[in-house]
Amino acid sequence: VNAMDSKLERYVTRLETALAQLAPDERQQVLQDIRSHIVDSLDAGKPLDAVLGALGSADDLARAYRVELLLRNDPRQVMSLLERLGRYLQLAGLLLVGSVPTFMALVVFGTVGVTFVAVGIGVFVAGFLGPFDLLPAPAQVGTNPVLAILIGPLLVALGIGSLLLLGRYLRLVATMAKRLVPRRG
Amino acid sequence: LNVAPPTDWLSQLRRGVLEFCILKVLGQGASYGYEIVSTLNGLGPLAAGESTVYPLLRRLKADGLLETFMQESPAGPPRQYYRLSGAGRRRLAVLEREWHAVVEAVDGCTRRGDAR
Repeated sequence: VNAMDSKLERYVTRLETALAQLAPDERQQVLQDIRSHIVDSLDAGKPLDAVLGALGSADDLARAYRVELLLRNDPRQVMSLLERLGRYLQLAGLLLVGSVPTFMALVVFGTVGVTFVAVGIGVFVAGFLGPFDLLPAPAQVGTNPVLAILIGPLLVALGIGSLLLLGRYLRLVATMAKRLVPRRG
Repeated sequence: LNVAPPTDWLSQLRRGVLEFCILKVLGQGASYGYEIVSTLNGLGPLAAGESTVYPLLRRLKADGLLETFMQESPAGPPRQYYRLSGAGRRRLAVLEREWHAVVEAVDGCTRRGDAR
């Protein structure tokens, strides 16, 4: 019974932490709901693991609450300018946190992709021109031309691969964003 | 080109109907989380899990459609009950009219199809 209690307490504590954004009063009422739900489910004879499993992880549940409460729109409720500003800031924060990895992926994969394609073409062409002394002096480094002709396409392939990866990632992010923000009629 | 699978169609439908169902359940009297969730769990294709219902209850309260109060439970700690507010009863009446209009419209499509 003790192991069960500590598992329950861990779940509720974790949920409380994840709900830090909510107003204290709202948070307490949410915790009250979830605690009662678990107690009532156990009384009905359900095993604790099944009850917690059906609720989903504390983090996922907290996210569901945040999405539901941050995106609510109610014409009757008169929000103060400060509250309105606060909510926009919270939404902007959610967007910003999500966009940092996207920005990094764009910079890293984008740069690697474009650079590798450009350099690969350059090396490939240089491999052909090198033996005929057609290259400007600074570009003559005396690399084996056959090696350059082989490495060029390899670099281009790596660059294209990087750009394809970036495309897939962006499509994934777009899908996730669409799922996160529910359509409202 | 973009044919949504039935599961997606159901989840779109569920989103709107669930709010209506919660208001309808509470229209029959005040209730608490576990009881509401148990009722909505048994709705077949429209069944909604607790991770959807509990956040939605808070949103409906924040929107002023529901009120909460505490009441002793026979066993264990006091429970938080939900009931319709005045605005909630008005919203339920509007949604009931809308719902009947939708059902009639869909029935109308079926009859027209049968007549052909």
